[in-house]
Amino acid sequence: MKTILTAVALFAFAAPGTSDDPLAALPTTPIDIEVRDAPADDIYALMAEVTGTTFDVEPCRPQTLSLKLEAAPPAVLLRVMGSRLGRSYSWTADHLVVHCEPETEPEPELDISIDDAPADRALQLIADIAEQPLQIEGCTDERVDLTATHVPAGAALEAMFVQLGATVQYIDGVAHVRC
Amino acid sequence: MNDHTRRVLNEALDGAVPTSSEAAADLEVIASRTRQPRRSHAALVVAVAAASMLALTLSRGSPPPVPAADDLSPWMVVQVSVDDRRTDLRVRVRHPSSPTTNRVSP
Repeated sequence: MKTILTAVALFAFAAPGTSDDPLAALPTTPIDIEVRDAPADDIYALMAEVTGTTFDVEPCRPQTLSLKLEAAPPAVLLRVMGSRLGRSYSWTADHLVVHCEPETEPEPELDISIDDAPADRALQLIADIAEQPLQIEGCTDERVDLTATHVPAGAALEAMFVQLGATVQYIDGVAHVRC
Repeated sequence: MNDHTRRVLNEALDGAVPTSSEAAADLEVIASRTRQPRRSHAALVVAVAAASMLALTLSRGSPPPVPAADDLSPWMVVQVSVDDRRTDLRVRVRHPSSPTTNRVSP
């Protein structure tokens, strides 16, 4: 196994949160990581160390993966890993539990490229695909570049929130976003 | 994503025209395709993007203006490969003080 790791705290920001999203409890400081051909369990152990969170990983069939993360919060990576590995998450007490089985409804994936689009329009498009009700305040002046290939729509949406520095509140399942 | 769907997508995103039923259908096609991703999509997206950039450059005779680096957020890059299935996500944001003239059109 060849593993290269660099974890760098870049900056803090207002991050999205939701009461029913187990990943919302994770620290939101963006990190840089690059790992090659590593067992999935090692990656989860690494993320536990980086985030200072206790991970309870159920024994699953062995899988290896390569990943590269730059200036991204751990939750975005874990969403993508969960989709690719077929795993789901729950939050129990102060532990993040990694389950072997995916959620029953697979999350829609994006295969899309957007160049210099108004942020509010791009957010609405991705939210529609993610089937996430959205109410946007502002976000009309910022413009977004987005390339997504086989990316869970929810992860792309969360990445856009982070890059915009938006504040997000979930009220009755509706994401209220303010730039 | 072909030129037509790219154009419809850009128009819908920019609000240049109201999102018609045809556009909605096209966007749904994009969404439904991605629910059953095929390995060739990544190469196709890259190829379309590269072709668009090349066409734009040739048609203008000069490269599009590039905003100053400090006007753009750093790229957020997420790449995960499992069993030859690869996920790529790249996002960056241009904030209000930035120039907005380097739009890529079909």
